[in-house]
Amino acid sequence: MKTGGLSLDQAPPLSVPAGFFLSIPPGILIAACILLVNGTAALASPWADQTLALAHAGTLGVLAMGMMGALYQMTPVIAGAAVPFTRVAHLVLILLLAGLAGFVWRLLGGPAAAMAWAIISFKLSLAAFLLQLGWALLRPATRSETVQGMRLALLSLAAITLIGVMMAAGFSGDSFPQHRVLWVQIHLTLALLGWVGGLIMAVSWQVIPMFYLAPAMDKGTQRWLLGMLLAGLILPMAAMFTAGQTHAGLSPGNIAAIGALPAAVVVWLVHPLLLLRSIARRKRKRSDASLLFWRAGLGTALLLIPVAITALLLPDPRWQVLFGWLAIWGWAALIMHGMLSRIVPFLVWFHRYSARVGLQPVPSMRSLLSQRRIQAGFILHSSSVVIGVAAIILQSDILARLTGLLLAGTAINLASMLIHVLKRTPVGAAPRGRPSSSSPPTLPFPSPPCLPRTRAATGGRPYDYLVRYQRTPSSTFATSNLPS
Amino acid sequence: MVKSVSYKFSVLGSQVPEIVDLRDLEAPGPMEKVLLACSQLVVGEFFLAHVPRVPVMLFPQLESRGLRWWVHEEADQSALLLIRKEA
Repeated sequence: MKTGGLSLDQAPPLSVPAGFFLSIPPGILIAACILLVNGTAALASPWADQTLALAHAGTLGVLAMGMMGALYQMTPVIAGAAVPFTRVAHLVLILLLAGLAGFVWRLLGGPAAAMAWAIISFKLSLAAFLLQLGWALLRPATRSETVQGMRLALLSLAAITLIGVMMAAGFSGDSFPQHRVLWVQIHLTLALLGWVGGLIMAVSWQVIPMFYLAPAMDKGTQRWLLGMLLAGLILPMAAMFTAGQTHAGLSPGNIAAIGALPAAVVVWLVHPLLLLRSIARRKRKRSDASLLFWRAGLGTALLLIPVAITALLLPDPRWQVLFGWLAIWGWAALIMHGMLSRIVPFLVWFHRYSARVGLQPVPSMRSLLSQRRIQAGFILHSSSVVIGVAAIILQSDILARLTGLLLAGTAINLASMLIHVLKRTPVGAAPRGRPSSSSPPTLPFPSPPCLPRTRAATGGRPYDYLVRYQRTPSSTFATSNLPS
Repeated sequence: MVKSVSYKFSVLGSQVPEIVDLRDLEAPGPMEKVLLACSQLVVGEFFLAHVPRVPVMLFPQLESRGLRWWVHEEADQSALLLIRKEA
């Protein structure tokens, strides 16, 4: 059998995910500035422009950056399908940043043209991203539950892009769509549960056993979680058939929220509990600062359903703001921050050091990033979540601005952490971007001509090895890189 | 176990090398150990490891070093990885 050229050439260059990851600290800084300038005005009502700007700095400037960068990196490895035109990712990133800048500027008092510019940028950026990733995920070599979760997340992103662009038009001089509250509810459901929740679930099934030696969740449970999530994403659509009318005392927005309950229970209750149990049962209970983020993020997830129900039942807008704050900056961003502190050192080690193992001394992955630096990030991030909660409940201007300061500290610490790790290069390697006489190292092993190295050389699809895996009917499989 | 391994990897015949168990290592520990061991192989020698999962990201590294590999995934998703250094 042949490997079909599962090659490093197929994986995206480190610069692709790194570009997205390095854009996260500026996103956090934008959120920090909004809080520092506006104080409690950004935390008073979910419908205030400053609050919308703050929420989207979090979702587009922080979460989307991390998730899109991770998808570019993980799709070839997990789905066994190369992402076409990988370098387009740089353009996707630039357009996303431009869109975010226009969006926030308009909401903070800029001209309507800024939103028009943002809408065009978002459309182009997300369309290119969806086409690239959609192409890869529609024809994966393996159809594991993680791949299904990634597909569901991508479908949700497509839907929230359409709905989001439709609603953003209301800020660019056009009118908002009819039944705006209902559309907001569906937008929220698909964004938080489908896009963010679906991807966090799918990625955790790979990352937690791989990096922490925690027991893997069984396939049946994964399939059940995905089924419930899908149901909770489809059911809210039923509210669109209410024609904006109240039924049995329930508004269309409330009907949509109730429809999302199966997904909410899975993403914010069952999955966090299962994952926390899995983490507690890991084989080697070595202390790891990145686990602090996972535990805190999953713990915050458990608060989200009670807070969401309270926000639905009580007219006080603070509960809705609190829900958004905990969901975006507590649950999702904490988990992403934790993942970054583990995945970025891994990628740097893999791209820059793994080829040298056995040929020269190579640092361990853990030595690329100190635990203290990760702990400092956790203290800053988690305290900003807690102070933010107090600022929302008490509507305290001082606490809101203090939260802004802590967010700025989190951004600076994260930026310094990412730059520190990404700057690491092997001894003897030339600075990045310049040709090196010693990189890649001279291998003492001749490469036999029988081994196919690239897609072109095999004349077939990449990751043929994974295709064979998928097609093998038995519970185990065997393959090799032997020539036919 | 020896019989079972030689059944899974017919290339081994009756000469089954010692299985190095790397299942209790976090990523990228197994990759590092395998590459380190492979750098010390002599021509024709085998290296056999039990790894936590099919090491998809390791295969390109092995190929770039001119090593032949065979992998057998177990029911628990761990994998037996056999590597031989070619002449």
